[in-house]
Amino acid sequence: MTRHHRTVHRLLWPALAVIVALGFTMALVLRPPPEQPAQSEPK
Amino acid sequence: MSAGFQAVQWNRRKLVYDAILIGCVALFIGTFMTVGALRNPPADPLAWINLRIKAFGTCAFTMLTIILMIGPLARLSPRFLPLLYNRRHFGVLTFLVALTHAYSVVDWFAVQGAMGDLMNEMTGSPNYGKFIGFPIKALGLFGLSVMFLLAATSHDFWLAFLTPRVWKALHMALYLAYGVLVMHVALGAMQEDRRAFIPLLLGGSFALVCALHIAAAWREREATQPHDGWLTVGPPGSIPDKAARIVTAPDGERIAVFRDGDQIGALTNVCAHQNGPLGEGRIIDGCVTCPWHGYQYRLEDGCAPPPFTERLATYRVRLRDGVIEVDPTALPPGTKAAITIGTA
Repeated sequence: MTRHHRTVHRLLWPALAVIVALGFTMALVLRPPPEQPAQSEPK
Repeated sequence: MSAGFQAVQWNRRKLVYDAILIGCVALFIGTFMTVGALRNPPADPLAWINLRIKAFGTCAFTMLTIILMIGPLARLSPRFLPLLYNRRHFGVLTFLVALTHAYSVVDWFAVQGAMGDLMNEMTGSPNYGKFIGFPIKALGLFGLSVMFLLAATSHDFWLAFLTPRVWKALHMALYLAYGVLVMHVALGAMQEDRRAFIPLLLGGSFALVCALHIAAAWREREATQPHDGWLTVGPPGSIPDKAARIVTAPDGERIAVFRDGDQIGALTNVCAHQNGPLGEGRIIDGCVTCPWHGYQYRLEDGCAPPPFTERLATYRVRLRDGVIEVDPTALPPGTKAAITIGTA
C-alpha cells in the first residue's frame, strides 16, 4: 500500500464509518414495535 | 528481482488454507441450518429457502467482517500474516457464499411465481425515498456487485494489468461494500426480527472492525515518536534477525528496518514489483526478499542483485544510546545507507 493509498484510506474510512454508525443507530431507533406482525418476505 | 522468481501459484500451504476455509464455511452453514430447522422446523419448501437465505447471508457477512479484520490484525501481530497473504482466496469464497444467498432470494420469488414483485421492488419502488422500508435488495445487489468486481480482478494478472496503484484503489471499494451491507442487514433482517442478538452481533461486528483499525493506526503512531527528526526503531535486538520492523514516517510512508546479523539497513516498505509489503518478508541468501513474489534487494543499497535493475529508496540509520534510529527522509534509490552495528 503506497502513501497515497494510505492517505485516502485514512480520510475515507472514518467518514464512511461515521455515516454507517449513524445509519445503524437510526435503524435501531426506528425499529418497528414488537407487536407488529413479522413480514414473511426474505431478507 | 530474484533469480529464483516464481509467480504466485498453488502450493501446499494455500491448499491447506483453502481446505480449512471451505470446511469452516460448510460447518457454519450446516450448523446454522440444522439448529434453525430444529428450533423452528420448516413447514414447506419456501421455509427451507428462507432458512437457506439466512444461513448463507449470515455466513457471507461474517466472512466479510473477518476479511476486514485481517489487515489491522496483521499490523498488530505478525501471527496473522498467513491470513493476510491468502486473503484473496477468502474474498473469492465470500463472494460465492454471498452469490448463493442472492440466488436463494431470487429462488424464493421464483418458486412463488412472483418475479414481477422482485423486479418492481428493485426498479420502480416508491420506497427509495424512505429510510425504514428502503429496498434492501438494492443495497444487497450493490454490495454483491462490488464483491464480484473484486473477486473477478483478484488474480495477479489484474494486479499487473491495472497497475498496483489502480488495483489497490479499486479494492478499497470493499469498505464501501461493507458499509452498504451493514445497512442491508440493519434495514432488513434487523427490522424483521426484534430479538436483541441481531443488533448486538451487527453493531458488535462493525464496532470490532472500526476498533481494530483504530488500534493498529494508534500503535503505529505510538511506536514511532520522532527524536531530533529521527524515528526510534528500538534496540538492535528488537529487530528480528533476517527480518524487519516497520516504522511509519510522519508523512505516512512506511519504512522497513532490517537486521542481518550485525548489519542494519532501512528500505521503503513498498516493493518495486507490485507494491508488496517488503518489511513482512525475510532476508534470504543475503537479500531482502518480498513475501509476495520473491523479488530481492540488497540490504546495503536497495538494489536488486545483477542482472536485475530494480532499485528501492533507502534511509539513513544510526545507533544512538543503544537504540536504532532512522531518518525518515528517503535517499535516492540505490543509495548505500546500511550500517554495521559494531562500527556505527
